[in-house]
Amino acid sequence: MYLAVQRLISIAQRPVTESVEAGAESDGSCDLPQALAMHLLKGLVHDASLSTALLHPELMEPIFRLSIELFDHPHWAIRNAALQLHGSAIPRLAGPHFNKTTAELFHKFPGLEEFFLNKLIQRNNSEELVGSGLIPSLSLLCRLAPSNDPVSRNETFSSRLTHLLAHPVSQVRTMAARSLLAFMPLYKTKWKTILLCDETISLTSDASNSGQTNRLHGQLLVLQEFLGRCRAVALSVEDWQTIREAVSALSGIEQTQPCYYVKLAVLQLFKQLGMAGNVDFFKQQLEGGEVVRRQLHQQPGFSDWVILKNKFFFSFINSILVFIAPAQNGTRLQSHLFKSYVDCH
Amino acid sequence: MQESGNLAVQVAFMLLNDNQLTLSEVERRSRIEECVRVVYQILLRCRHKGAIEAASESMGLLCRHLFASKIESIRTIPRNALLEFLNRLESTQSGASVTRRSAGLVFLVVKIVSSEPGEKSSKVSIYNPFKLFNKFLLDLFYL
Repeated sequence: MYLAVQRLISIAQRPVTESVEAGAESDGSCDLPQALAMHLLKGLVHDASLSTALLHPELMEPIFRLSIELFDHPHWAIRNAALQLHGSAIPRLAGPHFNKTTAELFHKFPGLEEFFLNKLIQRNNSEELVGSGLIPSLSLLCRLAPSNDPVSRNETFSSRLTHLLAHPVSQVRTMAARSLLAFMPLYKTKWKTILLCDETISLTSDASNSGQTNRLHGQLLVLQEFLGRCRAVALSVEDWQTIREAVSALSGIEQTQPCYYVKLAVLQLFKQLGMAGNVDFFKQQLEGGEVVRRQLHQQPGFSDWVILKNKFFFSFINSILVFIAPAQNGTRLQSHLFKSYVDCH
Repeated sequence: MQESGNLAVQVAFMLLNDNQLTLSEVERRSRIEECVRVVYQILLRCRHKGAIEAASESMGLLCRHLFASKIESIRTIPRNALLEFLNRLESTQSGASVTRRSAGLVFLVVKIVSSEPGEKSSKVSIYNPFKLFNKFLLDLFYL
């Protein structure tokens, strides 16, 4: 198997000559040997009977690196084959239930640590919005489980991923936020969550950070991920109260920020904690009506934000009706409100 | 096509196991290679999904028996078939078709590789004793 894998990798890494490429593209009846070699590697990686034998650093590391490096190959068939190979390699590296820790992965495949660190460096290249291999690397990192050791590795990766939270591409921010969970030990979850709340508030209050919308959005995405993890950690009632107070301080961001993606991220935090949020916008909708909606519906992220906002409002109304209205009248009032909502939209 | 592959495998089994055949070792090996070539060609050229899947199972079964043979020249037959395929892939400028005619190539490689004895625990066979001891110490450290 070692021989077969090595030869397939060498075939896949061969440069594509112009004559071959022209011939392959002209009639479309032939696959490039590079693409075929990667499909064969995918078959080997995917085969359950070879799963143990293939999990060797001398085999799996070159395969994984190959799958990432050919993601930006000019030929479509090779990019497609690299994507499929990458998709097969991830469950092998991250475990069938994505429960492999970072320590286990980098202990077994030490060469991947430096490889990932190089991919996470944000390069100031005006031609490329997303660095080569960045998203494929993040797609594995975000599937790893956290470990406590070593501290230096956790800090190095956390630092690189934190820089990516300000990336102009939303998908990179989202994946970097998820990947940060893998490099933060569980016992630090509560501390990190409260720290993130404080950092978010200071980010908005600092006047010099006026162009930091992407950074703010990334920060809120990380906060969402950590709030999700808080449920997996045994926090006390007092801890939850502390977290709720810290998150409720973000309501000012939801009111003042012009970007609806940021507003939506704040509302999603409130939703995670079962908090009501501010309901003034709904009153503004009813009063301003069609004019308000026409002005705002062109804004990116507005539709998702207003749906969640209205859900909050109806939850708020519902919670009041449970106490003040008898069952029958309350139902009638709810129907009337719902009808008004539907007519508005 | 499906039954042809199965028949070729059955003939190969007879050639492997029947000691009463008056064939020299070279002739026996040559006939077995022809049987392997039948299945090899089905995997390389056939478009029918059922035929490809049947041929892949036949190839896996046949390779396991070949690898288990006591005769060295017969044990090398699957390896030679794989090397021939890899050489063909390396030497030709264009590979197989993008149609299903090439669907059997993955099965060909996977079945030969997975049939090799000791592949499932090959991580032991690849390590030398010093690397094993080093790995043991590292595992203790991380526990």
